[in-house]
Amino acid sequence: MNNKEFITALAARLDMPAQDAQKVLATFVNEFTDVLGEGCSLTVSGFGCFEVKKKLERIVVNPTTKQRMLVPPKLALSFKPSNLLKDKIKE
Amino acid sequence: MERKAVLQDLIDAIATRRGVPKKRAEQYIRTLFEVVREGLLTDKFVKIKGFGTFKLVTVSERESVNVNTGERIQIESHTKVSFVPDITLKDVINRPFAHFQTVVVSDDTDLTALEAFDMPTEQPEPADEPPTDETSPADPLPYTVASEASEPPQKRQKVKENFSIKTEYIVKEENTTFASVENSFDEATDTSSAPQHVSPATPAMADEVPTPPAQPTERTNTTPAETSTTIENPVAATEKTSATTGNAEAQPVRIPPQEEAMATDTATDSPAPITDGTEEKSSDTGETNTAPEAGNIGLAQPASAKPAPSAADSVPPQRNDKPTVNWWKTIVIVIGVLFLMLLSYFAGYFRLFCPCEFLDTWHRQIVGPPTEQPAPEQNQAVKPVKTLPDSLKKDTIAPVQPVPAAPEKAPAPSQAPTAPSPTTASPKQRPTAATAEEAVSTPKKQRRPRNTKRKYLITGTRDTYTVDRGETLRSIAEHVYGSKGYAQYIIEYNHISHPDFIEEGTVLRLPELERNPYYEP
Repeated sequence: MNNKEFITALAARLDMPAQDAQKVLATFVNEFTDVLGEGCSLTVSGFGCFEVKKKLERIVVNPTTKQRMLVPPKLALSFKPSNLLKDKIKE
Repeated sequence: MERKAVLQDLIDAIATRRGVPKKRAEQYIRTLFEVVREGLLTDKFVKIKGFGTFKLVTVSERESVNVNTGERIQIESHTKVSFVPDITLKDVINRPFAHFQTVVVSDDTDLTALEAFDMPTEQPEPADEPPTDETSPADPLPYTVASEASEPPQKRQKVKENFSIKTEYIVKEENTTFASVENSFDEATDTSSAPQHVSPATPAMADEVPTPPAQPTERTNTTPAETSTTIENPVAATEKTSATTGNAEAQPVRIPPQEEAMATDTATDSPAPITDGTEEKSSDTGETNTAPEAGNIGLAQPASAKPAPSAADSVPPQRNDKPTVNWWKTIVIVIGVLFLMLLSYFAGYFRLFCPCEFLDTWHRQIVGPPTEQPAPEQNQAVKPVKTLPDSLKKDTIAPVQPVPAAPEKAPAPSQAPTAPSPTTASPKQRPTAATAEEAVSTPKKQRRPRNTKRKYLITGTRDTYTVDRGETLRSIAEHVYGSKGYAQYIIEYNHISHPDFIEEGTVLRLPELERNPYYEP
């Protein structure tokens, strides 16, 4: 299901034109980005938990050149599905 | 991480942004996630632009070990949900660290050193040495030092910057852990739990990392040179023990931010004895692995047990000096303050430093009233005043200066009918003046009651004054005597019942004033 399909599905569910659904989706994504950009964690009940995690810096080796690189630390978004979602997927 | 956002916040924000009721927004978001869920179930992947991709990934079955029982168990193949955030979302979230760049670590000699450092992480120390095991979670830290040292100088600057920024970040977030540098991803996942234990001590280490770049480089240079490749393991072990000592020193300090500097001091101090240890061991050759290690650990253990004495050899004397100096200073200050308090008490008691008081008593005892006369015209008054006491002396006791008193005495009675009260005052005053000049011992004067409340006594009429239009008694007093306060003597002398209403053209008698020697303020 790509973006287009997703929007049409969403619009069908909400009984609104696809364009509106797209707009609302855009605002949702913006807000979501803002919230998580501040380093918050966001839990959606019945779906999962979005969390910003700090990945530590590390040294990696390029296997072909044997070159060592120090990879800087970074913040990454992690998603942890809730048990409900897990169960549904198991079925 | 820092705080939790609830879905409701998001709903509120969307509702306000879109101008729709909150119920609608909530319904919208719920359906959104439902659609994602259904999409996952039907298509196994959902891609949302600007957000990310949810995917169902099948995980093949694998073997694992039950942590509690140690049994081998089979994990069945299953599907799991993976979420890969969109690149825009990723960038926004990583914005605080966006300025970091991957740095190439390139130095030939350091590669061996790094390998040596990496050895212990792959083979954690056996259980025969408990102290190292205890502190082993903290081990990754020295490797960061080593990796730091191994970098070329021009890059080091940048990395330092990174570290400093990171330390700030660590201070901000309590539960974040300090970096551990491993050479493989698997190890990173394995040891990911370990640094969390170290987290209290990590800020110190984070600080330590930028400061001692010179010494660690020496260390890394010397150790590989002295030890052959066959005894890499011992070297690594010693390095590890050094790490433990470093940690042992860092941990007791506990480092609140202001003490971080101290911690760095101790940290920089620590390498010196440790390198000695490695040199010793290199001379001892690889067979005696455990002995020097034990020695090092023995050094390390007291350090952990008693933080202050062993942690920093250079620091304690400074600490000791400062308190002693302060001690003496405080004692001296306290004594000085006490002395001043005592002095001020006695000064207040005897009124030593009050010049007016002193002068007053002095005048009363020695000089007597005449010099204290306030008004400028007192030169005129001096004559009668001086003579008056003399006349009294005649009356009372043996005269010291025989002066004709009769002519002087005459004016006083003559004034008496006009102003009874001042005349009564004046006879009283005469003996007082006399006593001032003589000694205190004459009994006669003590018998008489003395007017101690007035500063001046009225001795006679000095002048007459016709009140002009717009003048008050106070203005007259100021004009004649130099101060408004003398108005009360004028009032008294003229028996003015309503001092506020004096008529124009009234003739006032201005009293001649003399200082009252028995005046007590």
